[in-house]
Amino acid sequence: MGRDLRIINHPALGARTEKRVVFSFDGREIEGIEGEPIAVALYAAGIRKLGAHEYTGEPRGLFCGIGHCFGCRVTVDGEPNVRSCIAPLRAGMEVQSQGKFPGEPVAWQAPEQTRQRPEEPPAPRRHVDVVVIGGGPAGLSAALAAANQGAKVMVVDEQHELGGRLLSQVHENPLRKGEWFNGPRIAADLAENLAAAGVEFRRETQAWGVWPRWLVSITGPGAEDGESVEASAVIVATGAAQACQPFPGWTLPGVISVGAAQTMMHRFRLRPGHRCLVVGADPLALAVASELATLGSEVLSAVLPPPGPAAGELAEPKEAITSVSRLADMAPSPFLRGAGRVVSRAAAAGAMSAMLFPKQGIKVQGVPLALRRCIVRAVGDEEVKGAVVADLTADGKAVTGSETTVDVDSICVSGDLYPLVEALEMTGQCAFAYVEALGGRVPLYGPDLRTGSSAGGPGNDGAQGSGLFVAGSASGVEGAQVAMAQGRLAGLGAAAFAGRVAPSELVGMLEQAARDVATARREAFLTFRPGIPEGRDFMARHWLA
Amino acid sequence: MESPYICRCERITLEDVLSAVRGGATSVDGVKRRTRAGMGPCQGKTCSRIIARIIAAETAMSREEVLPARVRPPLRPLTLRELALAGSEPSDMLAVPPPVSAPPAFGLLADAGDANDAGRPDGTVVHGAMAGEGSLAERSYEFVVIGGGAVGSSITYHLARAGRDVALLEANDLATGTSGATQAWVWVHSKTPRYYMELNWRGARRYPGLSEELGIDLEYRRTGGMVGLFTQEEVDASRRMMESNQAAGVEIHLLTREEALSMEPRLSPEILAATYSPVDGNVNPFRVVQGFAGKAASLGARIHLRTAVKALEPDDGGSASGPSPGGNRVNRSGWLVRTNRGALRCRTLVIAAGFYTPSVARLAGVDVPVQPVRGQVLLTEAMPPTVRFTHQGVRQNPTGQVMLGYLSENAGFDKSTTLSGLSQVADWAIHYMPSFAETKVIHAFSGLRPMPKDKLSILSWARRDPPLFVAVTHSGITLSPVIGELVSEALMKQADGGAEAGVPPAGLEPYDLRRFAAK
Repeated sequence: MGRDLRIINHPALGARTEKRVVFSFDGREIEGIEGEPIAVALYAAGIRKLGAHEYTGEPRGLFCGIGHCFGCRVTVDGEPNVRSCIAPLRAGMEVQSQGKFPGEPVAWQAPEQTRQRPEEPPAPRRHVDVVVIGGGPAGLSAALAAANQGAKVMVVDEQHELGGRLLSQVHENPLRKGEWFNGPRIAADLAENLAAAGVEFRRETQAWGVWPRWLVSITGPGAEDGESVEASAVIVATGAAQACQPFPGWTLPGVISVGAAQTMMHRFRLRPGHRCLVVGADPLALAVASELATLGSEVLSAVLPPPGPAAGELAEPKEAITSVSRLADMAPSPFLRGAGRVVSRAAAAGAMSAMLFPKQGIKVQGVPLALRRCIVRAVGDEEVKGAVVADLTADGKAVTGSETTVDVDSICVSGDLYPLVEALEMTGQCAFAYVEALGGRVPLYGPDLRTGSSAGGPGNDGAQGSGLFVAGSASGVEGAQVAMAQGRLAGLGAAAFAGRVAPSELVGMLEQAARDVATARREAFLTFRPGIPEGRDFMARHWLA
Repeated sequence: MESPYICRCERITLEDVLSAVRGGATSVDGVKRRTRAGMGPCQGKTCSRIIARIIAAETAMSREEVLPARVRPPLRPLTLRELALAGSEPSDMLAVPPPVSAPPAFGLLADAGDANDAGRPDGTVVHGAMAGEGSLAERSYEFVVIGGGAVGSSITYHLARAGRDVALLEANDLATGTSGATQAWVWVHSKTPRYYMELNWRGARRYPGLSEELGIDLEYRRTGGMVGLFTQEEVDASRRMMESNQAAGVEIHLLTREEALSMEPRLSPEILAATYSPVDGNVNPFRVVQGFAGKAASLGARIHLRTAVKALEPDDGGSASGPSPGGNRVNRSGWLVRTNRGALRCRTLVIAAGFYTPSVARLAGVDVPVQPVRGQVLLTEAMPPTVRFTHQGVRQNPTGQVMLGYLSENAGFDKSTTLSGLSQVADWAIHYMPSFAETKVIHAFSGLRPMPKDKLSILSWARRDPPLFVAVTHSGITLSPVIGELVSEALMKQADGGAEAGVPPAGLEPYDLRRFAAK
């Protein structure tokens, strides 16, 4: 691993302009780029092991890339357990790995710092019309829509840079080759408009509590100590998370989620490795495989997760072949369309039995799709040095004796995307339903994306609303365009709830915004899950029930 | 194929999760209670959904039936100092509808506050030894114990150990009440009055051998217990307590400020003194309950989870108890216990339902003066060993997380974690151990504890015929081994004709229900 993983000239993002800074890791001087996550700077310098597990001493490192998994925790300038995958690098930082705990201390010692109980009174509470939690496509669009109605809006986002998933979404337009969906550009434009509209941003700030009607408690560099903000309405736009497929060795440094790979490549212009294995055959996994190849990494193949109760049918070749075949028409990218066509032809030839699907896989633009192979385990002591793969029978049993070791330095693993709804759940004020088509457990919501409690029945309570809204993938996993349209709808709803929209105009505006969501959904070129319309219909029926 | 980790933070493997499911877990929280999966710094974000998928794959449940973990603040880590400063909800925010999951005042069915633990109400989804599949065969037992917490499962275990025919009914899952929301100190030295302290000491003395006896590492550690004293009044009261308790032979010391600080450097330098005793310690409460229930099951007891009692009826004519082992006297009457999964019969009934005991006992026409009190507890990020002793309010777990809590609130049956509650705990923690100010909190939980009217245990016959015994107490973790021992002896003696069901059993005289009527 080394510095040559940095992408010098990204096909969509162009050449880099950056400020190099020096920091230290375990006492060693290292150069990185100001503002990029600490873990990315270390990764680029060839350092992937960020510490040892506290109980077992096993190596650990960056995995999710979005601040969820805490695998990348390090000590920064004395503060332990900082998530280095999102903490921005600054010049002169002293970063230290964290090791295994001793069983018993040598001596019980007084801690170095002895701070006194805080004497100052709690911070005074500000009131705004709308707090938006999450500064991704949905959240930024919601904030802008609400601010455009004159609402006083605050956006809280965990990251250093606003934009969320937009920041790592760079796809080529399937209809016009050479034209890219440039998420970072869209995010920058939105942020600029928001600043002009007077929206208050809290970057690197996390909402740790949402208390009914409504108090949002926040922490992080962008918040005062102990700060909570009162709001008439809250919009939860926390997006989706990925439940990656576990396999033995998936905690080794060098195994990362496909989401992390995408963030690394398109946001921080860093390839995850020279020789990569992709685990999973869903659109996101295949898109990452293709992007890795485009950016110059060798993709050994895309294989399935190991069979077993943790993977379920995701590990069955039959299911994988059917699901990839479906991509033939859905066409999120030329690569995926191609993959879909090639695989569906193979499947047709094999009468869908999957028995005739070649074990080595079928090459699509240089990437072998090995849909009859699974990963058995990652290999390596301190970091990934290879992977053991095995053949699968058509119904997803590993063939004994078929294990072979492949030489890879990086493994990108995929899994289901599911709505991230914890901020809604903790309020105790939302009714939820499990809707497979929307990605899992989602809040019930009304036509303007207001949520409601079942205490009075979603219909009853919803008629008046509590002021808690949801937008984007937190309401059901869809792409950025749908999320932005949903954000505009929820932003309007929240501004209205806060009394910032003239009632005479509201109905027409909401109807228009709802039509825009439907249009965006129809025209979306990346659909994560089949059955989205049915899922949304389910929601409409249950909201009124 | 080797078993992959499922919970990356706590290093819980697929095999661990599968064995939790085989042991009766049908929800993400059920797996969490049995394995710690989801208790690490990521707060379950990485593993919860995978665990739900595993549960669905291993049981007959659909994905939508597998309930997710209950979400509690903090959604992201924050320091104790920030939390202490966060203060409270404005009072006008309290006038909101109760949370969707608010429990009914008395829930005999799996209470809605624990809806996340409930699984399918018919209980058909569970398999394995601790199960209850389909409806209960209308079978008769010598003893039925209601309540799958530390107290109920210990009584069940002690009966099973003596070869008796016993079933345990749990409305929800094991350790879903107080036993699953406790700081689990094994605490003795500062309890009063002296005879109650002695009962606790008997409980604590059982712990060192209990892991081996039950075949599960209970993570019991006799750390020694300490109480930092900040005012002269506290010092004086402690001195009186010590004089009384030392007379019972328990080793207790009154440490000077300097002695205490050298033994426990994290303590606040503002203390005046501290009490210390080597007999106190702490334990993993989930393992205590699993240990008792699991061992009981392996000795032949039937453990029926997700089995909620609906009615308790004296049962004269039915097929009451079979021949009792010691049996020189066969009772004609017994109990018909109706549940959501059908009925069963028993000769002697034991109610050990914690803070739900009054509502269960009322089904048998008995009043038990117990109220729930709420505690809110914080868990910090894991740290190398740094808190040496168990304190009233602070302990460090074997995983390195420090557990902080001292609240005792009257909140009815509301198990919410509140901003003001969490903030008060953080403020107190920094007062007690100031160097934790910059330590981050990663989890919080809230739980109800049963508090008898006079704060002392109720271990008492409640009806003579058919026989009904009530066992409910505060400090159930410390006391459960000794309660199981003494109560099972009393139950068996009565069943075998050696004692009347009205007479307080030997050693349990102070804990008779009639003390409340007398006042």
